[in-house]
Amino acid sequence: MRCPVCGCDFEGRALEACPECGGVVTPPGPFLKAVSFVEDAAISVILIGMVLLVLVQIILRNFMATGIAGGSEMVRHMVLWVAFLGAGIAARERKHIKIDLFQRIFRTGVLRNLSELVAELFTTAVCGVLLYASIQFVLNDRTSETVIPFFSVMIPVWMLEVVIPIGYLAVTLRYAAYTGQSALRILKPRRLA
Amino acid sequence: MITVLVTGIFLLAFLGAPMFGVLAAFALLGFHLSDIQSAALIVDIYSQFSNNPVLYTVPIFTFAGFILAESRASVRVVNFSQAILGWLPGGLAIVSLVACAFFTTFTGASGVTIIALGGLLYPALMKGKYSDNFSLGLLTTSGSLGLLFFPSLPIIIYGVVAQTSITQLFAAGIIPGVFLMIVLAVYSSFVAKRSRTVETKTSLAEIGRTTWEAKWELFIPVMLMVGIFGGYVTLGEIASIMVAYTFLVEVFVHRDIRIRKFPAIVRESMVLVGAIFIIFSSALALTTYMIDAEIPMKILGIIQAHISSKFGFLVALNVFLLFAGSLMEIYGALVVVVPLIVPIAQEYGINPIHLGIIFLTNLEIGYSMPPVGLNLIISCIRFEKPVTSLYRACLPFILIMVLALLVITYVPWMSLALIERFGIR
Repeated sequence: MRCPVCGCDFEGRALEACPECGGVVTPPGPFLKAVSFVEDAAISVILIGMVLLVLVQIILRNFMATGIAGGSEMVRHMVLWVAFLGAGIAARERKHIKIDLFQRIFRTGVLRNLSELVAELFTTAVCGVLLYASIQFVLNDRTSETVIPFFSVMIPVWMLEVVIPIGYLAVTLRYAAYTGQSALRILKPRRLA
Repeated sequence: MITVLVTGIFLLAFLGAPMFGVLAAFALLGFHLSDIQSAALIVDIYSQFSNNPVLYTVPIFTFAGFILAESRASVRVVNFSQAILGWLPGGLAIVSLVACAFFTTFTGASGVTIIALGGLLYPALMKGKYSDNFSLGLLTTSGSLGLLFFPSLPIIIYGVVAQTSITQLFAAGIIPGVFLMIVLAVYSSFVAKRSRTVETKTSLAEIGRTTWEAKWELFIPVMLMVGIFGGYVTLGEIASIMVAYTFLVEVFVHRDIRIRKFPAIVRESMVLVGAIFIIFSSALALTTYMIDAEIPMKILGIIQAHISSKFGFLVALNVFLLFAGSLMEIYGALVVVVPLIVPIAQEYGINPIHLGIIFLTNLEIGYSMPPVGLNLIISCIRFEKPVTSLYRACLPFILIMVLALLVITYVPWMSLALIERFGIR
């Protein structure tokens, strides 16, 4: 858990006081909870669907000498979904891989908060550009009308690609929120002390 | 101007900006310099995902590994190795090596091994009268042992990035992986003899009982080997079979995990996959730019001006990779450095499969390298020890592993023997 006031990490759950400064982490509101739920449910369904699709194909190939039309294309696109939904969730849980040398040396205090603010602001900006690029990409493919057949359904390829901007959007918004929180920590230190 | 930007981005990486953002920033800068639209970057990412035939095995194997880690499989595997190896001098240490390797193989050296097994093995080692220093060093460095075994994620990622046969990589990792374990086991026995540790007694009945208890887990490596090397199934198919198998075994046979826990397992494993894949995506775009700008060739030119022999190149490579491994964490190092190194190494006549094994062994050691190897940090948290005491504890293990690395590097036979002997493609 991250303390919203002093920024230190501590073991504990929402609504428990931070041992350093007594700040309390408020649990997310109903909207954010709903978003989290949708993300978690979607990634579970897609992952399990992917495993089942592969298993069904093994059975079809070995015992009936047949397969699912577009099955392997579908699996590859499902990985794309898992990857980008997962990236969004990783941003939510602050699990993106980073070199946190600096934060390990400066565990609390202004320097830590400042370094985080700068790093988060930078990440927000980069993700913003990636978000823009991915929207351009999807819009471009939307006009191309390429389709991927799956069973007897023709799925327009842009519908499968749309997860790329969704993923980058989730990461951008979350890092924007973290940037705001870090800025607040610096501007209003020890609000609750 | 460009120098300032590049330095700035590097600086941000050290201030804690996520890896994927740093790599994407470099890629965007490169694309901008070459006057390419940023949307082309997404085209690169998308085409890799939609064309690569093995990428989908990564989330599936990870999921299977996390199911195993969540169950009590660790206890069963430790009990089994205890019965078989516990009577040897330094038996408990060897048991730790084997159990850690088994777990890392399936969970991809993401720190899960130290977290899952540390709590089980550390008190046991203390009780067996192993010194605190030795136990900490052993468990910390073992947290990445098993990286060379099938089907560890770093092997698959290397195969994807270097565009080499993953089946060949699997076969290539077996002898060097076992060799590393044997070297560490011999050292452990040596230390144990000197410090008069307690060995456990064993009996045939005990071996039988623990084998029977762990039979379902022990069948997994057999299933994977037969499936892949026998050519019966593809990598993705065996991954899906493994998910179904571990699910059935841990939920219905052992009843270790309740269905209710599954959403959390999916989330935890896919957070790791998402974090790896988004780095992979950024690195992919960066690679496209670097190859376009012929950067590997420029680096090669610089290296060739100073190093002429294959031997010298390998020394330099090892030093560089040990450093990179301690600093960058494995997936970042893999996706960024591999595309640069593979063409260069080929110029020096190094087999890409052998290169992969050298690479992964380096990163395996890099995990425990001061100042910031990932295993050090995880151990630091798990065992509540200051990181400096871990440096000292890991030092002998690192030295031994570096010696083993030199052998693996200069004896390509170890990596290539099985491939040639069995004609694996």
